[in-house]
Amino acid sequence: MALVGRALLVLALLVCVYGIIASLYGARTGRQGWVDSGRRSVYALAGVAVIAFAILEGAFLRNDFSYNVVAQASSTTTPTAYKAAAVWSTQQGSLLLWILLLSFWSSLILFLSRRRAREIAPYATAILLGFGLFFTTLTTFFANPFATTSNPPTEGAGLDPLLRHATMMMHPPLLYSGYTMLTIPFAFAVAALIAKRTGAEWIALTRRFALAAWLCLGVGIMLGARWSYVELGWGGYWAWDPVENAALIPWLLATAFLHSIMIQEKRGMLRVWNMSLILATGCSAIVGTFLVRSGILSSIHAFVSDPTLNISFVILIGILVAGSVFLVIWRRPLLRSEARLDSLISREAIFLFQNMVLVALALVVFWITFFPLISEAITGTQVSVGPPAFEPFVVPLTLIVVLLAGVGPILAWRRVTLAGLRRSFAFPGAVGIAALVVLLAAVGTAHLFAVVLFACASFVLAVVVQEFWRGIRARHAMAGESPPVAVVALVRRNRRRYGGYIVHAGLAVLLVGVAASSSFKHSRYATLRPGQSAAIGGYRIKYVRPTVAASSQKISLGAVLQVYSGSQRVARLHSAYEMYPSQDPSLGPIGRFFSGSTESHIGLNSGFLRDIWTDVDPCAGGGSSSCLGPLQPQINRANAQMEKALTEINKLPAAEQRHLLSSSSPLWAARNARIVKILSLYTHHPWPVTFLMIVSPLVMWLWIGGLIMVCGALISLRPVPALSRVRARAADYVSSGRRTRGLPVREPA
Amino acid sequence: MEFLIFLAILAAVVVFVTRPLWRPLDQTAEPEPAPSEATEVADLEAARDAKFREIRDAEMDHRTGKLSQADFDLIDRSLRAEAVQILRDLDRARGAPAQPEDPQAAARADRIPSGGERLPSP
Repeated sequence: MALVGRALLVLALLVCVYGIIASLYGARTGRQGWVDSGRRSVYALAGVAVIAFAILEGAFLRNDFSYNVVAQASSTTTPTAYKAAAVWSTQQGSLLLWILLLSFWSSLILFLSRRRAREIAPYATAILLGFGLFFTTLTTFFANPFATTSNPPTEGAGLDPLLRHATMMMHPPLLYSGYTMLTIPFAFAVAALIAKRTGAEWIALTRRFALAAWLCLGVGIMLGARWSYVELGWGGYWAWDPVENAALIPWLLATAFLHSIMIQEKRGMLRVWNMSLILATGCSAIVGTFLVRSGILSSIHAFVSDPTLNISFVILIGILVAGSVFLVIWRRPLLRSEARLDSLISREAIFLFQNMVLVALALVVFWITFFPLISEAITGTQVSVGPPAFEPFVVPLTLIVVLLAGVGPILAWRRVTLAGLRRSFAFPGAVGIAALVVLLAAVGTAHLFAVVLFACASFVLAVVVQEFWRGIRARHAMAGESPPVAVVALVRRNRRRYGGYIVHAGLAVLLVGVAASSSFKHSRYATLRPGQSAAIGGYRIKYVRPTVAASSQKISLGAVLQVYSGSQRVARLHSAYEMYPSQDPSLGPIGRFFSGSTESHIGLNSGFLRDIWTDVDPCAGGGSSSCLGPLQPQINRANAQMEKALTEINKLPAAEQRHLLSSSSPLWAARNARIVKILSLYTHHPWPVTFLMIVSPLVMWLWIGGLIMVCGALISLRPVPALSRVRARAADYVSSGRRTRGLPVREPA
Repeated sequence: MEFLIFLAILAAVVVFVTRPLWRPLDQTAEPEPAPSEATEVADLEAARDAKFREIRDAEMDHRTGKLSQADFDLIDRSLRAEAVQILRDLDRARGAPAQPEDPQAAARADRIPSGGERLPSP
């Protein structure tokens, strides 16, 4: 089926070319048939991409190592779920996933808008197919997932052990969904500029896609952070890695866009800003994709650098940026604001300020992320930057964002009187100040940023509680509803508003978790023998005994630990150092089982107040220059014996060789028994091993905050009540005294 | 076999994509009228929905104590006047019979009925 796959990629490429031509011709001549045909090209692209992706998935699931990508990223021992996810662990497969998701989301928006936006949609179709053409060209000519070999290996290299985690199965598709969904408002914005239809329609069509993209990117980032925390063995969840930042930048810009778009919807203001923002967001999504694909910046997540791909992406990004700037300048007369700010103390003024801070945050992250490349271009050497480079800028800007997340909801649109302001600020302001005073008294000024952030977060949470309370009270006064009924009615009738408040509450909770776990974390390395203990963060952690395990997938050397608070046992942890077999024959028939990829299985005891996290490294404490030093003589001896046996077998006739080397041969059982025997040395003669121990407060609230944000975003994503379903007419409205159809009518106070 | 599978997919794609072009010649030969009217209506509908939401939001802000009565009256009146203008434009764009400009009616638009009715249900 590889041939069909390759042919489908060519077909997808031709469909994109045809669809672009048909859409543009239809748009220029006004022939609806061509416009419809262009739109159908997107549906066809989605269909072709689904079939191609299914063929590739099938190859992974049936271990067809004649496909190069399957041999690279899968093996017979890889669990089925990970085989399915291994498709997007390869450059080629992930590009195909990009095409699949792009075509799917594009089909969805074009289907939803098939009877609307008739002037904009054909241009948007052409732009979306332009993205499709770029990626199908890459997969067809430079990174073909259907490339095969005539001499397939009997076993694949297997999926990178670090990627064998449930979060990693969903993380890439969610990020790609976010990136591809961001191309939709980008495409419609560009189309609106080209078609000179910069009114409210393109926003109404694509706002929910921008929100869905924001949600997908956010969930993807959270899953990546969780993976980093439980899988990477360094005890953190965010390292300002270039690929992490690549997802964060469009997320920040999309956050700004989702707020500022409300100002345009309501007031017809900030049109140039919004247009520029969504174009920048779309470009940053492609930059993010480029960073992952190119490997130009060293990252644990990036694929291997490919010059052809890099040049192609740089050209695409250049076209997108230059085209965006040109279009905004060209159509500037159409982007005049319809209104001006009524007051600096209004929600739109705060949104505007918050927008500037978010964009500044995105620019800071962008600049520092790309600084190594910039320094290399200027000085010839690539300077590496880490978290310390980000923190002086990001921390204060984040504090402002959190504060504004509280101030924004308090203020009304257009204007606020000072009396109203006092009334609205009294309770949340008091809560924030009280939190600040109590925390300063408790922890002093040693962690000032964390303390201020806790106070800001308290203020935001108090604002959200106050908003809900006031809404409930209003509904109770209006309709006599009980508080639970009022909450449901309130959220149902004002999904965007209250969904947004919930997101703000989630952000506050999440940042409390981040500030607490990074400022008040206890961390230490301890080299221990069984029975020895180390103290950390008010706990005593005892290394109880070593453990070993062996399976067809991996072997592991672990440790059982007991955690005590005083004399009371609070947790039992198991950490392990896991080794996956290498396919390199030069390591020896036994040695290759100890010399492949490794990963950490961390010991974690999570609670609402603190996490206790441990990782074991048996290589670090053995007192030998080589990893697993104490086992090495045994491994070398077993290698020699096994190689001798294999040499003897190779001298036998072919039929006998096949019999002796078959999978049921006692030779392999003997090999496995030998591996277990070598491993048992670790438990019978344990050597001191090194542990990384971390006690972090409130980490759990980071994940809870993320979940709250997801809930809020899902509420906001649901369609708003269709006020317009009743066909409102001016004549109905101005007719005397009777109810105006379709137009909101004042409810009794 | 692989060739046949691909041929079938190719045929399906070609038929599906070009289907809108198979209309009788008289329907496709002449350029269709530009859809600017439809786009204008869609733009106005989006503006109307946004204005309705803004009216509801102002109402909500007032009820939750963020807007004083005086500010609310001012904002609400201006929002409703803007909504009426959008509805008029919408009627015109849809080709509905033009409403004569009636100063009394326009004045009534500023005095919104508040007779115990609820916001339209979602």
